[in-house]
Parts: sequence; structure tokens; C-alpha cells
Amino acid sequence: MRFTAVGKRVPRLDGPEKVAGRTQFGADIALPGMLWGATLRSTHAHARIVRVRTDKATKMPGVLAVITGQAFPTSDGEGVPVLARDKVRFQGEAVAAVAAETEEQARAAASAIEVDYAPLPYVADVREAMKRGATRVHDESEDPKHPNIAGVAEVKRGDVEAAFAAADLVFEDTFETPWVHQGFLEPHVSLAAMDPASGRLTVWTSTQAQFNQRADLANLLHLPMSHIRVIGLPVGGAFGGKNAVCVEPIAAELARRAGRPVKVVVSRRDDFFATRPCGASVMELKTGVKKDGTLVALQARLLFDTGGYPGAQHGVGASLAQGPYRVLNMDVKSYSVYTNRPPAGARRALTSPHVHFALESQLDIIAHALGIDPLQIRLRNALRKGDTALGGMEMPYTVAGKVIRTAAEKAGWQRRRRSSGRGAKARGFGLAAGHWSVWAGASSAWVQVNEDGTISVVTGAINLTGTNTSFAQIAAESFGILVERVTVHQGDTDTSPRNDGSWGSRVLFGVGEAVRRACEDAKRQLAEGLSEEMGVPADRILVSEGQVSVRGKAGRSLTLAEAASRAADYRGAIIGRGALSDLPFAVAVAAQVAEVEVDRETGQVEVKRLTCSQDVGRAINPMSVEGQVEGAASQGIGYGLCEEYIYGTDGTLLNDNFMDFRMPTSVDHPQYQVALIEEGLDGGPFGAKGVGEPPLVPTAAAIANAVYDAVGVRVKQLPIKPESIVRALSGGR
Amino acid sequence: MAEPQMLQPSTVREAVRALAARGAVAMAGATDLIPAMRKGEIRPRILVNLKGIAGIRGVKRTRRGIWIGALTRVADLLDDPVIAQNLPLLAEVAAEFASPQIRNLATIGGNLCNAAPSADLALPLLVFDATAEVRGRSGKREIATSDFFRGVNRTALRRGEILTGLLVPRPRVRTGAAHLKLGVRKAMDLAFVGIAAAVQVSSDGKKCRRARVALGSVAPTPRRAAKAEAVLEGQVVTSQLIDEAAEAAVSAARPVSDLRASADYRREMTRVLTGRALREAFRRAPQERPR
Ligand SMILES: Cc1cc2nc3c(=O)[nH]c(=O)nc-3n(C[C@H](O)[C@H](O)[C@H](O)COP(=O)(O)OP(=O)(O)OC[C@H]3O[C@@H](n4cnc5c(N)ncnc54)[C@H](O)[C@@H]3O)c2cc1C
Repeated sequence: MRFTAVGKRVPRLDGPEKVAGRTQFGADIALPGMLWGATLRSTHAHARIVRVRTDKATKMPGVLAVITGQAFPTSDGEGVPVLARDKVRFQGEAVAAVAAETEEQARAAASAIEVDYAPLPYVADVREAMKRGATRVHDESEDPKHPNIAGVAEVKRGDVEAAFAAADLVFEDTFETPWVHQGFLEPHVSLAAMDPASGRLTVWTSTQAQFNQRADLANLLHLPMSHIRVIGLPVGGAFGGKNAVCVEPIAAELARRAGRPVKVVVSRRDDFFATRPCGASVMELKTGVKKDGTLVALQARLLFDTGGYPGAQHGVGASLAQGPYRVLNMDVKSYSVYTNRPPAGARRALTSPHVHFALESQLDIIAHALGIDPLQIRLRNALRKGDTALGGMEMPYTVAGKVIRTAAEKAGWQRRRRSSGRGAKARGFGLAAGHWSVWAGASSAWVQVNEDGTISVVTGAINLTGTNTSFAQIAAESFGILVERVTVHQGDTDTSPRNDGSWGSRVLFGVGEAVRRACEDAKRQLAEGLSEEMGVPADRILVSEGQVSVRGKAGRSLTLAEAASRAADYRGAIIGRGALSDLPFAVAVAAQVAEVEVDRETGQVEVKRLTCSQDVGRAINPMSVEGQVEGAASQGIGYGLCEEYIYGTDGTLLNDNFMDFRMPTSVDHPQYQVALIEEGLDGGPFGAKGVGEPPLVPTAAAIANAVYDAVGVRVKQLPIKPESIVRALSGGR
Repeated sequence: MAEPQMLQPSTVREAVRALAARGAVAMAGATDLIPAMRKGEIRPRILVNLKGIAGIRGVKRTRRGIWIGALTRVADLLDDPVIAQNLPLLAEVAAEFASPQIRNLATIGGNLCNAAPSADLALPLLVFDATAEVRGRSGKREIATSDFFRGVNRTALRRGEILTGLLVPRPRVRTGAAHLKLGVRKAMDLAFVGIAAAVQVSSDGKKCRRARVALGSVAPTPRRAAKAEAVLEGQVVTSQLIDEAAEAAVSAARPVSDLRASADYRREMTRVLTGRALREAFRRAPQERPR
């Protein structure tokens, strides 16, 4: 198939306004008469709330509303209270909030609220939390032996006992990953206003999921959904951190009580320690193999720290536990475990990077123990068509092996030479793979053919990654016109069709397909509208290359503009509709080779080159796909080498800012090489599938494997710290 | 945060007078000051902005050496011809300092007066025996940089005094110098260990005449490692001697464990980096290389 718009490198349509600083983010907007909101947050990791006294705060200058936990009898969709009620379960949990004329007044009043706490012992580690007699994070827990289990998922397949008995070798390793911030630059921000006449609430917010916000707000505020309009603002980074409600209900409730608009901007510190970062994990793997490297059995116990409130980590963790490999006998138990840490939120690919760090590190351990090339052991076990993957799903095609081989070839794996380099520097290569399953969810779009022949696309999907640019390409391809002839609008909950959130790599896959179907629908309407005038049945009318023509009859064609205005005369506006939830999961596999330099004396690791290959189905906009791959891999470098929450012994987060929470800077990045594999086998638009999550999945493991290759030190705990390398090299001194 | 009053003196004398008031704090690039104020670590009532003062910014050759105005920005050090010719190590340190945005604001005087254990520019100044030029109500005085730092964020400046400049003797012949910094990342990071070394070799290049080693981030203040210097001075330079000096440097370290590194690791890196900095300094000394 030859494409005219799909597959072209189109710069992001919203790029120029962002680069020029013209984009209006949440922090930039204001309404007349607007108040400022501020929250009071718990100073304890775990305590009973004995009493909250707001009388002083209420009388402070400029204060118009004060709310406490009583304001929200229900918790949000994920089970997190907006303001703590009986108990605080992590340091930073919001306890009360204030609206005042100025930001300073609001902050002053919030800190004048008096809370009497009865401190409780707290638990901060999943292993501790799983012990009998551990401190209970939730009193009402039903399991007396393991009161802190928030959720369990199991995957059982084949006969694990028998398979271990038949295995030539069995490997047991434990891996750990830290708490990390998603790394978005724009802190959470919301502005809410309630129209006193209609009682309708409007919320402007930096979110990944405006329709989910609307549903959650309706529940939390006990308002009919029809009374709420959520307007998703341009987002300055999210990566899963803006999936759930945050300060939206606080701004809304304060606005309702004060009778004036209220804006809440979360401070950097609060954003770090009190929103929903990515949780830590401890993963115990026991793997049985044949001498030739064939994986025969996998037993795993995965503990995901979900913090003070429930999360979805366990399910995804279990479903991805076999990696992109064929494992016939499995027994995986995956837990979300409560601790007195912030509620764990999503981060790009949820728990897949955790699980693959463990899996891919252990696969390397196995390869080295058996004397097999790390590439060969992966190829031997890679999923093939018909294999069972992803918690029971059948693989519809074979691509895993190809992705892995491509990364290796492009990185020069066969020619690689480990070298001691200059002085104390040693070079090494590490390979890792990983997968993610893309679920399209509920996706929808409207497409209007305007009378000048241009196309307007409207969706309710938040444009995080440049998906609007790709939608323009999809519509341009469908009508055979230039990308410039398409405009894409991100509507809000009042003005666009409902959509799931912008997460899980689903937007281009699902909403992109909805756009394509809406275009087809619009083309069909055009044909029907013109059938009488053109004197042929609608199914003989063809819309392509910006023309409407009769199949097999040259010369009788109309331009899209002529056709649209005439069809509109006959039938009103041409508005195509695309709505779906019928796409199957798409399995996306990524593989990476990290080439690192390790300083044997200082332990410093530098990633010199990162080669990424990925099965993307179809790159609608290769420029944007490569951006996703490089962006995710760069996040993986941070996860692998420097990012982690560091807590003090009293449960205080010590590095609550971007100076102390170290993410790689532009000069810390290696050269990236990206190979896209386009086989177009899934049901997404023109064969495309999700691309955003998979490239974060293998990176940390690829780096760990490269460090081992360079200096023979196996690091099983992220981030890989220079100090631990030095200690290991000097014999554990 | 109550808004402090902002004063804009145009002479050193006015600044010194303004600083006599209670709660008055000098302000240069404010890259240390603003974060500290945001965190509530300091609450100045009056900010005395030094940036409008003529004559304390820029680099000059003088009879006593190279003079660097306290208000010289870190970015200025990067492309100043006098620095490039006489003190290229300062430009090297400046190049690894923070990021271009911070370098455009941060001043050399602020770096010293803030007196962080990790102050990068302190190290080259220490190994070049620089002197701080200070002005107060009672006039001028000079303080050796090795006496300037008194503790974390504490200097020898008295109340109301400001730093006006730094006087760096022109490095002697046959001198080589180097600086190394370890951070978690390559930019926008404070060193968890920083080392500078300057060595002068004998005319035949075999012996070490003079040695200076300065350590950063491994003690409450940037400081010299006198024992390491003593190991080297007057001796024939060998690889083993350098290792001994590196070992001796560790005895000057009083590191703490913090977010960035443990005390043990800092000690170990003091040794490794001192060895490397010394080797590089000897390599750069314009004479034969040591074996
Ligand atoms: C993101 C970031 C990265 C950084 N990276 C580095 C780095 O890599 N290396 C490093 O060493 N530092 C770094 N710093 C710290 C800081 O930038 C430097 O210490 C800088 O040189 C301070 O200079 P300034 O002009 O901004 O000082 P200011 O903040 O204006 O002042 C600092 C202190 O010195 C006092 N002061 C300033 N000038 C005078 C004077 N002439 N006389 C008397 N007192 C004075 C002030 O009263 C104040 O107490 C970083 C800071 C930030 C925010």
C-alpha cells in the first residue's frame, strides 16, 4: 500500500506555539474574581486524626471557604479520599483546604488550621508490610494474616512443580525498584468555577482524562454529570501522573462554597511527595531452564508498593510477567501492598518496566551461567504465533524475535567488543526486551467535511504526545488531501464525543482508528448525498485524492470543496462518526541494546549508545514515533541510573525537587538509534498500534546487563549506583 | 514570605552602609539566595543588590596578579581572554558549573560567600593561593582564600563586609593544574566530590617543587589537603608518590553521608580523584612527563 500522508515526517502542529511560549498552560489562566486555593497536608506518615480545628483559619483575612474531610464523604474512583477523614496514611496527604483572595492568604490560612494527630507506627516497605503482625494501613482489612494486601492477581499455567523437577537448572533472584516521580515538569493545576444561576460547574485542568474527571467529580461532589464541564488544558507533561483526580475536586468544592472561581496550583514539593508517583517493587523470581536455554518454568512473587491506597499494579504486573517469551509452566502471584507512602499512580507502562528489569536481568544471569549468548537465549524463547501470552491471550503473529534480532543487528551485537578502554574505563553491551499490551478502550471522533474541502476532526482525547498531528495525517490520507487541509480540535466534555484517557499508548491506536472510521463514514455520506446528482448509485462514487469521482468514468469528478457544499445542500452538514471499543489487544514488543562505559574506580556508568527497536505496526508519523521511543528510553536511563525517592527515617521525602531528584539532563543522554518495525498487523489505523509505553520497558535492564558485561557486577536494585559498583568491585568491602 | 525591601547601591561605600542595617543581606546573582529564601532558611528584611555597583565586575591584569571582580559572572569566566591565557582552569571549572542559565546569573563572589562545601570555584582559587579582597565600614582588608571558609555557609566576612574581588597570583612557570568533579549527572549537579590540584615541577621536570591540592564536598568547607601537598613537595615524581599523596589527601576529608553519597564513598573518591587530578596536573605542567 502506498501512502500520501501516512508515514510522512510531520512536525507537531502545536510545536511552534509551544516553542514560542504562546501555549496557555494551567498556571497562565485566570478568571475575574478568582480566588486561590491551598491545602494543608499531613506531617505524619501514619496517624489518627483526633480533631481538626478551622475556626482560626476561617477568620483570617481574605478567607472565603475552608473545607475538611467531611466535605467529601466518598473517595475517588481509585479509592483515594480527597481530604483525609479518620486517618492519614502518608506524609503529604491532604487534610483540609482553604480558598482566599490571594495565594499568600490561602497558604497562611491553611497553615493556621490546627490538626491534632495521634501518631501511629508506620510501615514503609512492602516486605515489612507483608509480615504477620505488620502495622495495618487500613483497619478494615479482611485478611488477618496479611492485612496490607490491597490486591492479588495470579497466573497459573501448566505444571510448575513437574517442570522444575525436569529443569536442568533453577535460578532464584530477587530484584528491587524504587519509588520515582513520573518526571512531568508542570505541577498539577486546576481552576474551577460554578455558575450560580445554573449550578453548572466548569473545571479547567491539566489532566490526561477529562471524561474520567467528569465522572469522578460527579461522584465526589454529588452533582449530576450533566452539571459538570471539564476542559482539558494543554498538558506540560504527565506520563500517567495525571490519570486520576488530584486538586480538581478541591478547587470545585471551594468554588461551590465561596461562590467564586478558585484556582489551585500544586507546589513542586507537594507534587513530589503528595500526588501519585510510581511505586517501588520487590520481585522474587524462580526460573527453571534446560541446558540449551529453553525456559520451562517460572515462579514469581511480585510485591508492588501501592502506598496508602489501592492501585492496579498487581494485575498488570502479573499479566506481563513472562515477558515476550514462551513459558509453558507458570505460577505467578502478584500483590499490590499497602504501605504508608503516597498512593502509587501510573507511570508509562505501569509495572512493566519493573517486571522486565527483573526478568531481563535474570535471563542474562541464566545466559551467562549456561554460556549462551544473551541474544540467542532470547531468540530461542521469543514468543511465536499461537503461543500463549499476556495472561492467556494468544499471540496473533510472530514479531518478538524479529524485534530482538533487529536491535542486536543495528547495535552491531555480533561485532561488539568488550574493552577495558582507556585507563579505568570498561565498555560493555547489554540487551533486553520487553512488551506491553495496548488496549484501545472506548474511542470516538467526529469528522466534518467543510464546504471549502477542508476537514475538521474533533475528538475528546487529550493531545499529550502529538496524536493530533497524527490524526491530521490519518484524515489527510483518508481523503487524499494535504495535511494542511485538516484541522484537529481537542474538545472538552461538553463539545466532543466521550473518550477514555490518554494513557497506555491507546490514543493513536484507538482514537486514531475512530478518526479513520469517521472519515470513511463522512465519505459514505458524501457519496450518498451526491448519488442522485451524479446519476450513479452511492457505491460507485469514489472519494480519493481530494476528488469525488465515479468509479470507472473519467472526467465526471468534483473537487472535495464542490462535493461538500453540494452534498450539504442536499443533506445538511457532512459529519462522519467513528466510535469503537471492539479492537483486540495489540501486543507491542520493544528491544534495546545499551552500550555503556563503566569507570572501575568511581563506579560511574555512562550510556554511550542506546539502540532501540520496536514493533509499531505502522509509524503514522515516524518523527513523532522516534520522539516517543527516545523520550521513553531517556526516562529509562533515569530509572536505571539516577532517579529514586529518598526517605528519611521519619518518613519524610528528602529529595522533593528536581535538583535533588536527579533526572538525566540533555548532556547525560547517549546517541539514540531507532529502528521501527512496521508490519501493520493489528486493527489500528493503517495498521498502527501504540508506541509510547514499550520503549521504557527494557531500558533499565539493558543498562544493568551492559554494566555486567563491562565489569562483571550484577546489580539487582535500581537505580544502579556508582557506589554499589565500586563496593562490588572491591570485593564487597 | 514577607517581601524584603530592595536597595540598589551604586558604590561599594553605599552598599557597606546599607548592609549595616539589621536583617540586611547582600545579593549578587541570587542563585543561592532565592532558593534559600523559598525554603525559609533565611528571611532577609533588606536585600542589598550589588549588581549595580561599578568597578567590581570583570577580570584585569594587575601588578600583583589577576584580579577578578566579585560580581564577575560564572559565564564571564568562560570566554574571558585574560582567564583563558592565565588561569584556564577557572574557565574549565566554569564550564562544568550548573547550566548556561545559572551561569548567566551566578557570580564568583556569590559562590565563595555562600560558602557551600561544594562551591566549585573555591577549589581553583585555593590551589592558586588566591586572596579575597574585602571592604567594610572600617576599610579594606585581605583574607587568604585558605582562611576564608569557616563552616557550612560561614565565611570570615564580618558583619557589613562585602567581598569586592579576588587576587590570583599569576601561576608560576612550569605549573600544571587540573580539576575533577563527580556528580550524579553531568550538568545541573553539585559535586559530591571535587578535587583541584596545581603542581610546579623542577626545570628538569623530575621533581615536584610546589603542590597544592584542594578538596570540595568532603568537609564542612572547601579546604586544602596539606598532607598530600607535603608528600609531593621536593620529591621526585613517581606514580607511587602520587598514590601516596592521594592516600594522604583522604586524611583531610571529613565527609558526611547525605542524599548524594555516603561518607565512605566520598573518602574513597577523594583518593581516586586526587590521584587522577595530580596525574593530569603533572601531565599539563610544561615539562617532561613523570613515569
Ligand atoms: C540549579 C543550580 C545549580 C547550581 N550548580 C552549581 C554548581 O555546579 N557549582 C556550584 O559551585 N554552585 C552551584 N550552584 C550554587 C550557586 O549557583 C553558586 O553558588 C553561585 O555562584 C552563587 O552566586 P550568586 O551570585 O548567585 O550568589 P547569591 O545567591 O546572590 O549569594 C549567595 C550568598 O553570598 C552572599 N554574597 C554574594 N555576593 C557577595 C559579595 N560580593 N559579598 C558578600 N556577600 C556576598 C549573599 O549574601 C548570599 O549569602 C547552583 C545553584 C542552582 C540553583
